[in-house]
This record gives sequence, structure tokens and C-alpha cells, in this order.
Amino acid sequence: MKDARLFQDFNRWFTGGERETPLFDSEAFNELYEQSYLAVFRYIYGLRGGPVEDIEDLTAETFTRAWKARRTFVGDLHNAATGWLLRIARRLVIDGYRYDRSRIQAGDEPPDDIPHLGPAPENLVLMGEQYETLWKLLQRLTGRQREMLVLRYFLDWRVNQIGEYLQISENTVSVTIHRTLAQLNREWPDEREY
Amino acid sequence: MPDLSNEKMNSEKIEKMLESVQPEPGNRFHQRMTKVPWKLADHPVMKQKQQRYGIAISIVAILVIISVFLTTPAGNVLAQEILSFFARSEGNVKPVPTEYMTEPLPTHTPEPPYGLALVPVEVDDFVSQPPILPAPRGIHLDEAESLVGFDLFEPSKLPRDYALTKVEFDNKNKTVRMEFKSPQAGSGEFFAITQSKGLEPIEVGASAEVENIQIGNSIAQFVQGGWFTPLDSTVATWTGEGGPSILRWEAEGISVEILFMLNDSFLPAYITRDEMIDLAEGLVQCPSSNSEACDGDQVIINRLPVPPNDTDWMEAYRSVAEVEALSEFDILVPGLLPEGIPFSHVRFNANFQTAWIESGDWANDLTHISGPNLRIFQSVLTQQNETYPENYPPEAIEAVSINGYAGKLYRGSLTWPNAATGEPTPAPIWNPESGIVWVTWTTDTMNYSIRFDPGYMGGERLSPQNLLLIAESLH
Repeated sequence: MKDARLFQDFNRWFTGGERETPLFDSEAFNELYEQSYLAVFRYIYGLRGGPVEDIEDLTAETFTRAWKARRTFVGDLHNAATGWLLRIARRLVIDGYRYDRSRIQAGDEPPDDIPHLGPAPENLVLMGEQYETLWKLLQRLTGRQREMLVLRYFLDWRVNQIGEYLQISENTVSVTIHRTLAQLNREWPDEREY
Repeated sequence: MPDLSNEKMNSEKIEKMLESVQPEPGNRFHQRMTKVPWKLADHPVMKQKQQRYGIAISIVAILVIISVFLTTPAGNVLAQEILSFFARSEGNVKPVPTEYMTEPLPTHTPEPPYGLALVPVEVDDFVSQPPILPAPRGIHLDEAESLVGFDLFEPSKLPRDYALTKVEFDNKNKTVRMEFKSPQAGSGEFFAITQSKGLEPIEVGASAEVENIQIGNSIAQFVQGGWFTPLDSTVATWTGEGGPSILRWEAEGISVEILFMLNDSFLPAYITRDEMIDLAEGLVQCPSSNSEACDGDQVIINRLPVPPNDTDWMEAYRSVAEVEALSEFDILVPGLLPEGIPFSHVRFNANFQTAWIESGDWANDLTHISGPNLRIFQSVLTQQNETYPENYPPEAIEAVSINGYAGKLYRGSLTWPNAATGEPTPAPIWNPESGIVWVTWTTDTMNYSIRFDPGYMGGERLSPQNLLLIAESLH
């Protein structure tokens, strides 16, 4: 059985079978990188927080893993590929990163438990006190609520895109975002609390 | 950024704030991403197909050649000639470049001597904490793979407690070096796995023994030895005794080297040649479709079996209780120790039933010490293990009694001057001011000795009376 698999792999390699996958060419992959690195960076920024250096490391790690797993990608480069990258990023965030080599594979189902949001990145702190307050309130949200806000506002995704990515209905996305904004507003400290 | 000052917050304003958070990665990120493989690689399909025909033909040819090399003695000799992972030097001596010449050692001034008091110690004090290896330094393995442009071989079988401590990328030679250390091994001991698309041959002496070893489907070459330069010498001499052990081979178009470096301590190599070969055979590239050694792109690490210790190597232990479980005699511990010289570890050899209790400020590697040291030696009495120091002048030796057993007390130390070429070894010189003092005695079944050494130029002194009190406090 193993021999047959080995032969198939060899045959596929020899005949250039992996060329059929849309991300096989470095040129195609580079195009994907250029169009989506900012989205991946912002997605990790909002999901995880913490020092910008760590967010950059995770962004780079996402693309490194995607490059290695590019033969497994199937779908439309313009619509599906960014979602595929975000799933890799999501699992990296969940799995932890520094020197703890992740056990994930690009084809695995993403786990749901997004960890707590870390401290505010340096650039957000520089944006002022109100942004620090916003970050503190974001830290109180559930992972799913936060992810929806990040996709909607940091990445500027439409509601239907978010629904497709998270595999839930557009209505659920709209209602959740609306309620989350209301929750942030309710919990926002009034002036005397500053 | 929206102006939100002096306004009451509402959902719309929060939305505006969220939309205004538009972070971007910095220059560090962009610089780093210029070296990623998809910006360097070139994958035109036709070129690749042509390359693949060439590679396939080469693989068949290499397999034929390897099978000839491995199956015939003549082929084996030919392999050694052809596979040049090492470059043989014309001789065993070569000049040392001036930039590598050793600076003279700085001179030291001895510290003024002062006496140490004794402090009581409990049995529970004869335990010390094991060292912890720091987190790996350098770059992440995945980053190294991106920089070097291929999947790295990683060990699926590691000897004992060795762990990855450093990953480095050499941009000039396009090599990745992974360094592994053991918390138990000497500080200078490590092994390193270096990988590249083509490693430069290493120069070895004319007399170096290059051994061919089969690693998977490849022929590897193994050399032990190194170039040694005595202090102030201008030439380096090749010797096969000591120095690093190096194993080199090629697999999947990648040159791989495992180098094991032995430090300058008295310990023999902490990993053996056979362990190096097992380590080499366990190297895998992950993810790999046909390897059971991978869990995704992570290597599943197993430990190699620990070879039996049948040498005169003294294994280090962090507690006396651990050694008692292995020894055939009761390990005695002192009720008193000099102030500031606490218990550190025990060295024990089961073959010789010998233990040394070491006290002092030892480094984590347990082979280097800074400052004074007290060693309590205990060994089952045999004909072979006479421990009395020889060559001391009569004025250095005093007869003493330890709990009724006759013993001898020695003061000072002996040094042997360098012998001139062709001359017999000169007589040792006794230095009564060195601060070293030791006492030896035997019981019906055991040999004991306790030796105090203030260390290089150290000022600490242990009086003979206090040394005898420590000896009598053994229980």
C-alpha cells in the first residue's frame, strides 16, 4: 500500500502533477501574498494582540506554512485563498507560537477556542487613551464576537463574506455585530471614570 | 483617526474607532519577507520537466554507483577516493594564520589567604537542583527553512536528554546550523547538524582515518580528530586523538554534517560514534508523505537507548540518595562543611564502586568550578585503588587518627616542570603555600580521602584541624 502511494507520489512529481494546483507557481503565490499580507497581519493583530513583533512573526509564519502546503490548496485564488490563509493564521494564534512548533496541518479543521486577547500593541497605545479603553473592552468579548468585529472593521469585509468564512448565516453575523457594538457602548466608562 | 474628545460614546462612534485601527507591519517584516522562497524560486513548467528527467536519470545512476560502492571492497576504496566530504592535507602540520594565534594569558595576583569556619549540614542538604536548558536561541526552524530554501532534516531520535538550543543561518554559505546540548554534558560539549546545498570540504591531516559508513541509501564519511595549536605555537598539528567527530553525507541533494564536539574536561565523549550514526539514520524531512516519524510538519522525537556505561567515567548525580540506590556501600555524608562551600553533586562509577561528593560553586555542566572545592572520596577497598598521593616530601606528611583509624594528612601541592625533549621527567616541586590540604584513611572495607583546594590563586584556607573535624563528622 505504501509502495503504491510512493509510486503515485513519484509519478505525480515526475509528470508535474502538482502544477495543477493554482498556488504551485511562485509567481501565483507571490501575488496572493501581496494581496493578502495586510489582511493576515490585521487579522492576527485583532485576534491576538501583543507586541507588533510577535504579530509580524506570526504573519510570516502563516505564509511560510501556506507555501509549504500550497499543493493542498484548491479553489479560487481571488475568493477562497484569503480565507484559507486566515484559517492557517487562526490556528497558529490558537496554538501559540514562539518555539512551540505547532502540530497543525493546513488541511485540518480549525479549532474554535480563540485565546484571550493579549495586551494592546504598541501602535494602538500611541493612538490615545480612548483606544486603550476600546482594547480593554475588546478583551472582555468572546473570541467569536471579537473575530467578527476584526473581519468587519479591521479587514473591511462584508457581512456575507464573514458568514461564508465562519460558515454561519449573514443574519447571525449582522445580529452578533450589532449586539456586540451595543455591549461595548454599554460597558464604555463615562467621563468621570477616566 | 476620528475626533472623539468630549463626546458621549455610542455604537456609531465605536464603529468609527474600530474602522480607524488600520495597523501595518513595519520595515523589519518587509525586509524579512524579501528572502522568502516564493520571491526567490523560479518554477517554469518546461524547465522543471527537463530538470526532472535529468534528476530521474541521475538518481538511477547514483543508485547503481552506490550499490557498487557498498557491495565490493574495491568499490569501497573507490568511494573514499571519489566522495570528498573531506580534503586531505599534504601533511599533519600546517602554519596557523596570525589572526588565530593565541593571546598570552593574563597574569593573576593571588588573593590574600583567610581561614574558613565550619558550618553544620543536614542529610537533606545533599540534594541540588538540576540545571534547565534555556529556550532555543537564534531563528525559528521554519524561518531557517525559508531562508535556506529547502525542508531541513531534523532528528527523530535524540540521544539521552539532548535538546535543540540554537538555530543559525549563514547567509554567505547558505547553510543552516542546528545546535543541540545536554544539561548534563560539559559546557563545551554539543553536537551540531549543518545542512546546505553544498558544504565546503573540511581539511583533515594526511594521516586522518576517513571511514565510510552507510546512512540509509547514502555513503557517509566519518572522521575523528582536529588541528591542535599549542600555546604560543605558530603551527597546527593534526591529531586523531580527541577533537571533534564529524559525519558527512548527502541526501535528497542536501549536504548534511553532524559534528560532535568534546570539551576539554576529563569526561569522555558523552555520545558515542554509534549514537551519532543512529542519530544520522533518524534524520527526517517533515512533512513527508512516507515517513512515520512526522506528525504533520513536526518531527516526533524519540530517545535513543542509553548505552551501558562500562568505562571509568564518573556519572554525575544531583543527590546522595540517588547514588545510595546504586552503590553497594553506604555513602557517608559530612555533618560539617566549610562556610560558603555547599554540596553540589556526586560522581559515581558502578564498576569501581567509587563515589566523590563534590562541594563548591560548580557550573551547571558540573565540570567547571569557580573558587574553592571540597571533594570527599569513598571507594570499596581493593588492591588497585590505593589513593595516597605519592612524591610528597616527608615534611608535607603528618600521621593522624580519624575516629580511631590511622590516616595521613598532606599539606600543599605538587607540580611537575616540563621535561626537555629526550630528557626524563624531572622530579615534582612541592608548593606548601598552595592552600591544598587533604587527609586519607582506610577502614576494614573502605578507602576515604577528603581534599580541599582553594582554586586558582584563591585566598580561602581550610586548617588541617578543621579538615580532620569534617573527616570525623562523616556519618
